[in-house]
Amino acid sequence: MTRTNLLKVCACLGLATTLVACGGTTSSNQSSFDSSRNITLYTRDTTSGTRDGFFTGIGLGDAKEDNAPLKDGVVTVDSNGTMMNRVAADVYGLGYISLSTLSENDSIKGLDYDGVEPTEANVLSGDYELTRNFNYIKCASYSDSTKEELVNAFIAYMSTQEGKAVIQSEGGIVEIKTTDPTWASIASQYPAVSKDNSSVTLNFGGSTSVSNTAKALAESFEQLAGGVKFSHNYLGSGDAYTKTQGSNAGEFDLAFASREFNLTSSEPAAEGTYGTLAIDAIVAVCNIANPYEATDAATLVSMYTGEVTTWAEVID
Amino acid sequence: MSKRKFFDGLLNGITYLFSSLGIVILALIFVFIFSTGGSTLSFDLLSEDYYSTNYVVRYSSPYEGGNYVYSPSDNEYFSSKWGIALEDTTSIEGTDAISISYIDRESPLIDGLVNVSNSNYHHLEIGTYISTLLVNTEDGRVLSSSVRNGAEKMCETLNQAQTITNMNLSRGGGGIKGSLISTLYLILFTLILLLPLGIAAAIYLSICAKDNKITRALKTLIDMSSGVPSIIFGLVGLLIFVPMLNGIIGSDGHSLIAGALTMTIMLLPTVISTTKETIDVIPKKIINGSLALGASQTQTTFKIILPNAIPGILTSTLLAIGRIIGESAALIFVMGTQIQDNIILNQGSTTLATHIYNLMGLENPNTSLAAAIAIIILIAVLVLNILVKLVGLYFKKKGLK
Repeated sequence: MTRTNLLKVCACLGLATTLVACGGTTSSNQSSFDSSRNITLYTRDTTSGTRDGFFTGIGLGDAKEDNAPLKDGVVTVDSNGTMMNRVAADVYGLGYISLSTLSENDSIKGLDYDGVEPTEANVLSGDYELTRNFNYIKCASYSDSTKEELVNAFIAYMSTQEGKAVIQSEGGIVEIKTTDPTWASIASQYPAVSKDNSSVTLNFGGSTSVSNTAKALAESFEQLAGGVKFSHNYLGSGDAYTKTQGSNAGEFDLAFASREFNLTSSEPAAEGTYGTLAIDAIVAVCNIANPYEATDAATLVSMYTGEVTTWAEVID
Repeated sequence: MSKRKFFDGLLNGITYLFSSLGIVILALIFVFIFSTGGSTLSFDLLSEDYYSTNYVVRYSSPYEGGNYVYSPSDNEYFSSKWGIALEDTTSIEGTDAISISYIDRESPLIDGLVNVSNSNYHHLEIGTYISTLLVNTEDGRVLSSSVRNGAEKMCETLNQAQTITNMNLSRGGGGIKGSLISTLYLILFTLILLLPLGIAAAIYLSICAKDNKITRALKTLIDMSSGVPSIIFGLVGLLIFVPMLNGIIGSDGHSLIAGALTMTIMLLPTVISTTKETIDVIPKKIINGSLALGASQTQTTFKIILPNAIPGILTSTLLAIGRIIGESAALIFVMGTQIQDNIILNQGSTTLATHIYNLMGLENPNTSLAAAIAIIILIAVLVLNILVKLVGLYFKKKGLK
C-alpha cells in the first residue's frame, strides 16, 4: 500500500468516525424537552377497537371510523406495538394504547386521566373511566354438535377462576371471586371435553388487542378439553361479527371484539351469543422525556382536533 | 495550478465523504442488529421448537406446609412452605418468564401435582416455566398471580396457598428449529428443480440453439426476467402453483413444494445467464479440438463443456442459496406465515426470513428475536458470498497451472 492510499483510507475512517460522533450527539440532544414544539398525534387505523374505545371514551365518537374530525397530519399506525415504538421514538408524540401493553416499553408513560392513575386496581374500582370491554361472539348455529359444545365449554371456561387467572396473566382486567365456579366443578356439564378432541379444530379470530388473551386461553383449554386444536387469525374487531354471524358466517367458531357490537344497526348479533370476558383500559401515552403527566377528556379532544397544537399550551 | 489542485481536492473530498457515509450506514445497521439481537442469540434458539409443551396441573388436597431450607441467589425467591424456588428469567425468545430453579427432594410439588388433562401425576422438572398460578388460602380466599407480576409475587402467593386450583406450566418453546429446517428443505428442493433446468437451458442457448431472432429474443427475455420483482413471482406461484399442487399432492393452500417451485422460476434466469456466461468463455479451440478428435457433440457437451462450466454453476448455486435465504415477499404468498415445528412438504411453513415477518406482525412485535434471526441470515449470506469469492479464486489458480 502506497503512502497516498494509506492517507485516503485514514481520511475515510476519520470522516466515518466524525459522522458517527455527529449521530451520537443528535440523539443525546433529543432527551431535553422543548415545550414550544408541536404535538405529534398518533392514532390507530379505523378498524381498530382501541381507536373506537378511545374516541368514544373521550367524547369524540365521530372520529372512530373517520379521520375528518381529526387534525390534519395525524399519523395513523396499524397496531398497538407500532404505536408504542413510534411514541417511544418521538419525544413530542402523543398516542393511546391498551393498558395491558403499557408495561412492555420503558420509553413511554401512561397519562393520568381525569386525575386517576391508570392501574388495574383503579379500573376494577371504576375510578379510571377510559375503558372498554373485551367481548366474544359465537355463531348463531353450528353444523357440528361437538364444535358447538366445545365453544360453549370454552365460553364457560372464560368465566371460571382458572380462565380468569389466564386472562389476568395477559393483562385483561377481571376480578377473581371466591363465588366464581372452578373449571373442575363445571367440567362435567360439558361431556364433549372428556372425549379425545385432537381431530377437532376451532377457528378463532377478531380483535388484535384480544389475540394474546385468546391464544393463552386456548393454550390452557387445549389441555382441559381432550387436546382440541385451535387456528388463530386476528385481523381486527370488524371481523368478529362478520365471520361468525354476518356475511361470512361460520368462518370463525368464536371471535373477539375489543369494542361493543352495533346491535341496533350493522351487527344484530342474536341474543345470548355474545358477552364480555374482560375489561381493558385505554391509556393516553407520551414519551418518557415529556414532563406532561395528567390529562382529561376535554384536553385530549382539543389536542386531537387541532385546537391545541404545542405542548406548551397543555403543560402548566 | 492551485485552482486545479483545489477542484481535485474538492472532488476527492466529496468521494471520500460519500464512501464514508456508506460505511457509516452499513456499520450502524450491523451495530443495531447485533445490539438488539445479540443477547437473544443462543444455541438453544437454534435447537428448540417454537411451540412450547403446556401442562395444566393442580394440587387439590389441603397442604399444611413444610419447613424447607434453601439459600436463594439474587433474583431467586424460595417458598419454604412448598420447597420450591422461582426465578425471574427470560425465555429463549427473549420474553419475560418465571422458571423453577430449585425443587426440594421432599417437596410435595415434585411428584404430587395432578395433570388435569389425563389425571396422572405430573413430575415437575427444574427449568419449567410457570405462567399462571391460582390458589385457595386457608381462610377461603382465592389468590392469583402470573408471569406479569414477577417471581417474588408468585412466591408470596404460593406461600399463602393451601391448595393449588390451577397452575399453567410450559417447557421449551420459542426456538426457530422449524424455520431453520424449513429453510434447508426449501434450498434442497429448489436446487433439485433449479439446477437441471437452468444448466440444460444454458447449454441449449449457448451451444445447440441457432443464432436467429427467436434465440436472441429468448436471451433478452431471460435477461429481463432476472429483474422482475420477486412479489410478481409470488403472485404467479399463488395463482398457478398453489391451486395446481392442491390438486396433485393434496396440500391445503400453502405448501413448501409451492415455495420451491416459485423460487425455481424466480432463480432460473440467474442460473441460466451465469452458466451461459461461463460456457461462452470456454475457448473454442478446446471444443473444436474435441470435435476434431472424433467426439460427438453430446460427448463434447458432457465431457468438455460441463466440467469447464463448473465454476459458473457453483457460483450461481451459491448466489441462488443466498436469494432463497433472503427471500420473503414471494414466500409469504406461497408458503404462508404460520410457524411450524414439524416440517411437512405439502404444508405451509416459515423460512428464517418469513419467521421475522411473522414476529413483527404480532400485537407486540418481538424485535430482539427478529434481530437475532437477522444476525443468522446476515452471517449465512456473508459466508455464501465469501464462498463465491473462494470458488472463483480456486478455479482461477487451477486454470493458471
